[in-house]
Amino acid sequence: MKALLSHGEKALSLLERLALILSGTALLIMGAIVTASVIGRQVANAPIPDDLIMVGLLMVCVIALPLAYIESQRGHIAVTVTTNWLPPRALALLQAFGSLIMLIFFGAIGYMVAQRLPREIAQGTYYDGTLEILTWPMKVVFAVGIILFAIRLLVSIGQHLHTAITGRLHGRPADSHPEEV
Amino acid sequence: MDPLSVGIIALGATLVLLALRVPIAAALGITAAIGIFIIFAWRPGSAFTPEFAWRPTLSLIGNGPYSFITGFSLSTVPLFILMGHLAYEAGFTTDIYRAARLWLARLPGGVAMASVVGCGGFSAITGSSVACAAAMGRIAIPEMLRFGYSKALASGSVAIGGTLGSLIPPSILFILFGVFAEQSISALFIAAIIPGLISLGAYLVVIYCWARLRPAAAPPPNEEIPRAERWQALGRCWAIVALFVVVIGGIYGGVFTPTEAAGVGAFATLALGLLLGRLSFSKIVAALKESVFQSSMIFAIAIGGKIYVSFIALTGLSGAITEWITQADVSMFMVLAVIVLLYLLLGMFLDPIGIILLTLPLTIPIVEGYGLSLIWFGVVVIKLLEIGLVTPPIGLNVFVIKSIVGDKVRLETIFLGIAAFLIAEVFVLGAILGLPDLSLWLPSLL
Repeated sequence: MKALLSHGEKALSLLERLALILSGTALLIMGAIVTASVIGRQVANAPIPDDLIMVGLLMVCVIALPLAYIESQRGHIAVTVTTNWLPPRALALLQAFGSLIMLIFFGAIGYMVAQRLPREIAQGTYYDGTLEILTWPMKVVFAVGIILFAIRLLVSIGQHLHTAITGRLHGRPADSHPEEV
Repeated sequence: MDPLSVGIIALGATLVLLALRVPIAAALGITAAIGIFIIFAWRPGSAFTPEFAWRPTLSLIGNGPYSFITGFSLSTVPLFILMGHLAYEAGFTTDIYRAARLWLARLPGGVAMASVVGCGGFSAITGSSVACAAAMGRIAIPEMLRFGYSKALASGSVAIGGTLGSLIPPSILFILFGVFAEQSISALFIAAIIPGLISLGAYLVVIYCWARLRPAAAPPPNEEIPRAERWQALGRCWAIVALFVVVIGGIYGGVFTPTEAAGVGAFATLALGLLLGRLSFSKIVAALKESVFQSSMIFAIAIGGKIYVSFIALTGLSGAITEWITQADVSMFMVLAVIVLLYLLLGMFLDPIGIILLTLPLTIPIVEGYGLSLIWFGVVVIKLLEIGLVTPPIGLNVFVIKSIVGDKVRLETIFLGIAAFLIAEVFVLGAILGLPDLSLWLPSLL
């Protein structure tokens, strides 16, 4: 069972890193599209068609794909000053609660976006523009990002509950904290 | 149930969730979603009918966040973040600091002044205070400590200098303010230039006075700097000047929009770094990784905030507060004083983005009600948020500096170092509040 969990954790970390690479690449492409479009417009009065739509859609990669990795690094910002005085077990319980709330909120967003996917794929809906870019591919990316995030949140909840029950930190350095504000 | 009551209860619930360590993104989002559900399910004078509420609530959750993040105007945020990280990795930040240090070395507290000037220069190409403090802290603090500067002055000057990151354009906070308050981002950027420069000047005055009153806190460096070396260091700053001119000149020269400026700026930094041989593959990867990490973290909060803003509008809470203020015949100055105190208080505990998203739906209608300029108000809010970055118990910039200096400087010492600068902040804030033309003169020339 332990070996299975360890393999699962490794696979999840690998997927999170892959998502991070895709996200970084998308950011680079966003900059390239904007620059090429500005140069095209100034030099030849020919901006890249649908540049605004493409850049907007690439934002989905930049925002949704790293969410799981951020959670794995305890990077989502929370107010910690009000609870720092609590013993580790109580803190872990609160952290599990925080992750659960994140899971419900982002899970609901992901579910609502994913729910519309089959219809959009079947209808082949696209953005109004020269290139008629399909709406669904980036929604798939968004859903994948949220699913990955949801899995990581489940893992976090499990780890926090484990700490709350046993009093021992699970696979993390003892000084790891969420991003403090 | 009365939507107003739902709004008030939800506001309280948000604060409770935040205090319970629930991440800001989820605390804002979940209370807003539940609040919207209750408003639709429990209309005033009717029984609780949840079937009326599922559709509008889920529709808002399903459409709002996705449309929000695919909006072109917000693509500015990750691209400006990338620009700052690329500039740091390329060593452009070090260039500004080094030039400032060599030129200001002879002045009392010259090395600390150089740190603040370096922060000001780096602010011109990065939009984040934390990034500014982190970048300059790594370079300047070890050097100040090496020259025998007091720990309080060394750490405090960089922590406060870092706050310029969000005041001097480009600025992520101004972009978010512009988007949520529906104000021109170009106007906000240009409005902050004079207040930003005044802040920088005030910090330099504090350092000068500090060094004059307590010379042991800032011993003059025992080094002879040849004139040629100083000019050479200044010459090396051309890249950063060029990038600033490209970004700001491009926006106000009408070549591109502020949103496009971020993309062009990021790409120009990348191109310049590669051309000068100062960016390797690993450095670009590091910059990209940091940029997407920060962007995603910010947008997770913004997604929650977006739903929260819609919810507050639905409750009519902001309208009710405005009406109450009108009926109570409270003077504008009193209201402004309360708003200032509110932001200062929240700044002690919350991060700037969370505060913006939590408060703007409430404060903007009030400020608009008095016929005050939202551009000016934007500058005031960002200045207040910047002060919040260095005030105890939770000063984000202070924690950033602490993470850099480790055990060498105690947290209390950094806060102590900032105290003197906070006196200057009172005067600067007073000037921004009392003289709106400081913020509105430059936009009026556009």
